[in-house]
Amino acid sequence: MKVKHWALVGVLYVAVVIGSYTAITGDNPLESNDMHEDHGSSEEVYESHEVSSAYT
Amino acid sequence: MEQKEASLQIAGMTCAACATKIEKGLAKIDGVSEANVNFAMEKTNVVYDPDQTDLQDFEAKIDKLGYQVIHENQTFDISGMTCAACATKIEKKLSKMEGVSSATVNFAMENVSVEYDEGQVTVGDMMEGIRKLGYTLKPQKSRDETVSRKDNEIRKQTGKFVFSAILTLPLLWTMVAHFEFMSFLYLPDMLMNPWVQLALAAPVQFFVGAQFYSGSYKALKNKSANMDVLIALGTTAAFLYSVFLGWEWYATGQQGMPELYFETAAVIITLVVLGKLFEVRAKGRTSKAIEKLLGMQAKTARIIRNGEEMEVAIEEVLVGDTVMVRPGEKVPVDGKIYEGQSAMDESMITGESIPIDKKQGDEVIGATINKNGLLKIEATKVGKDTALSQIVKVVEEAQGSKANVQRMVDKVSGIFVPVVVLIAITTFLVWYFVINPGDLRSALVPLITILVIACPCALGLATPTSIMAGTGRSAENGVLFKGGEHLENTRGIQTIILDKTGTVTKGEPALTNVKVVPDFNEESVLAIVGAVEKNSEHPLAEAMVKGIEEKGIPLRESEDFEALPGYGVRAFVDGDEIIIGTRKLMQTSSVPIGSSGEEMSGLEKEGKTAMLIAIDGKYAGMIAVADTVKETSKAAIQRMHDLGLEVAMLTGDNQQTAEAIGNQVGIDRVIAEVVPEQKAEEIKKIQDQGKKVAMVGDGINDAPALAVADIGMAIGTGTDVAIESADITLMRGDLHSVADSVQLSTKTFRNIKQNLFFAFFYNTASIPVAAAGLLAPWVAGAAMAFSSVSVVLNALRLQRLKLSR
Repeated sequence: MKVKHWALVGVLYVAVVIGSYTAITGDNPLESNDMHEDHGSSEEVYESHEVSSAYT
Repeated sequence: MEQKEASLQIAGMTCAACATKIEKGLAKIDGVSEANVNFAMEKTNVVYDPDQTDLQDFEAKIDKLGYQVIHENQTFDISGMTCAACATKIEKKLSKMEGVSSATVNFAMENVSVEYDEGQVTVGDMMEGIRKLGYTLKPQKSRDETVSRKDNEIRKQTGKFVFSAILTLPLLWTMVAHFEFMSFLYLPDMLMNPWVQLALAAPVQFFVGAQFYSGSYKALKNKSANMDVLIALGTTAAFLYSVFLGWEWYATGQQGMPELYFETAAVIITLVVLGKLFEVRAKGRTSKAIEKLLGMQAKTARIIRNGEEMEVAIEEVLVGDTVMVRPGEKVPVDGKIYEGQSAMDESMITGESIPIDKKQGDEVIGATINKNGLLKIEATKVGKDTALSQIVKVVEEAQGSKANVQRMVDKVSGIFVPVVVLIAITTFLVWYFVINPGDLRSALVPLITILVIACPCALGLATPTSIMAGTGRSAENGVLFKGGEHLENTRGIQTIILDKTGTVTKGEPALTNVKVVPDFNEESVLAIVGAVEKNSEHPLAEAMVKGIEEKGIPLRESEDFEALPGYGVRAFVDGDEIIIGTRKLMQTSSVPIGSSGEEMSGLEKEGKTAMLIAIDGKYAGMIAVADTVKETSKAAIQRMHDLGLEVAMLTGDNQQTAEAIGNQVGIDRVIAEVVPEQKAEEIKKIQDQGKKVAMVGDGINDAPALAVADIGMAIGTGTDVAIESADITLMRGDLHSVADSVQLSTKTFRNIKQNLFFAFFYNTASIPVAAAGLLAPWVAGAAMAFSSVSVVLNALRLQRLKLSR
């Protein structure tokens, strides 16, 4: 297979993943919340997850 | 016990540990006395006893270890077959040939497909074998037209890398956006979703990364470990842990976003594939010298058969064929000129840029260029016997051989992987139980990083790539090292011993002195001497005639020439009797020579051969010939001195003559009056003083001395060179090659040391940093790939190496 075919397969695969995400969640794939805020909350959730996993 | 040597091309090796594994496996076979695997060239050389084992055993063993032996394929058109029995006969003949693994004749299509090992048998051998049966084989395709296996592999790996990079890029985006200084970067929420990340990372992990799993499986099946094991372990740990975190996130109500490691696994695999891609491309460039040598060969030859001139493929030229070479064309095979004369450009073989005049009876080398005259040559060596094929063979063998330092490196890389796995597990346990008890994440990161950064692939490449590039560059300069160990050891030489005749001197006499008594004119005496001597076939006579012609003196004609063996010659020119020869000849001919005898003795003391000349019974003068010093000898010996080497000269001449020549070229020490049999003893005496000695000789008469010396160098030009007889063959006929070989050796070894430093530095220095949790896994992946690439690029610098000439 030629290199450009590999590239095409890669791009198509990413497109399929994006399409599937949109179809399943109904969300806009390009939507972005404020990273800083979101990140802060994810750290907290992560810490709580760590604690919970430490007890399991 | 008869020993044989076989060379096999192997596919499927991923690192130096694979090479060690194959080496050990082959060495265990009964009858195998030596097995060397070159990872960079993907080749193995096996020395074995044919009574106990054979190639099939080696192939079976290599196959069992999880690798494959690669065979060359060639389809030939057959002419002359009349029935199926002919096909069987051809098939049997080819199958029985050494190095042929299978031969299948298609009688209907009138062709035969042969699978063979190029190191053992050539297309020419097969054609010759079948010709003897009464049939003709003709290759359907030339080798150049066949797309090489390596090119396909490079294309496939490039494709996989591009595919992998496209899928990894979004994952890398999430990672980069996490950095504090990159927090302004737009990041779609979708990319933070664990299932999206899983969907992107899975093909990279299990499709692109499948090669690491299969490599690990093969290694572990044979109870060994290689770089594939480390990559597979590290990335799988990151991948599976992320799957677990993703599942946990899902199970706990999809709150926030967990910190995943999918991007780590994907980035590592992509970078390692990229590193391997660079490595394969660069590895191909290190063997450029061989391709360059093979590319020099003419593709076709114009031959005269049955009175007809025809153009045939070079493989079809047979010994004894008459080959026509027009001006500007390459000489297709080695041969002897039987008609015509021309200047030959032999720079591609000897490195000597000045064209050499060749005439009838002279030998020409295949691949050299006929500059100006039409030549008809008789083919004397074809196929694998030509000088060029021999050179390619020597370079290939040298590139495939191992330097002593590599044997040590192989041992280290053999135990490196298990040790790294042990360190990684220990680090994981220390983090999990001591530093951050119960924190799987903080324990897993150092584990992955150590596994990835400690990959020993750069270690496996360090020595062979330098050896390949070094021997290739040497061959371009007309210096052929017969093995990696010679390339390594030459740098340690302290004393160079030069044979005099043919090494320091030209080895052929030349006219040096002409003395004419006042009653005669020098020009007319020389014209008479030339007229007489041109009838003689003695080398001294030839030297005189050549010298006289070079002075631009036209030769006259002589009559009644008579050679007087041991004394001289006699002839008549314009009715005058001319006598040229020894004192005794003058005495018997009653020619008084007065005090010229003393003058003659003076010349003889300088190592010259003097002859007296009498014209019509009167002494007219004397002429002397001697072996002269090569123009380049003095400068070359000065270069040796500059490199800190002691230079000695060994000769059978008397002390006075030897010293005269020694002083002329700047020799430090002259060892004279040594008969050929004593040369080896003289070398031993110097070695007993604790010195490393290199002997430089013509390779034929000096064979024992070359063998005794720490390094034996055979000097010569073109086909005269006895390639087999020395550790190093100097194709260029001058002594500059001696200094070149020492310089090439020193620089190649320095390059090996730099490469080993690169490889060990990345691997070992990074382990404690990784264990301390201070290194991100993807950085480890990049550093690992970079270490292999830097090693190969550093080796490639040798291809541009300039010598101080």
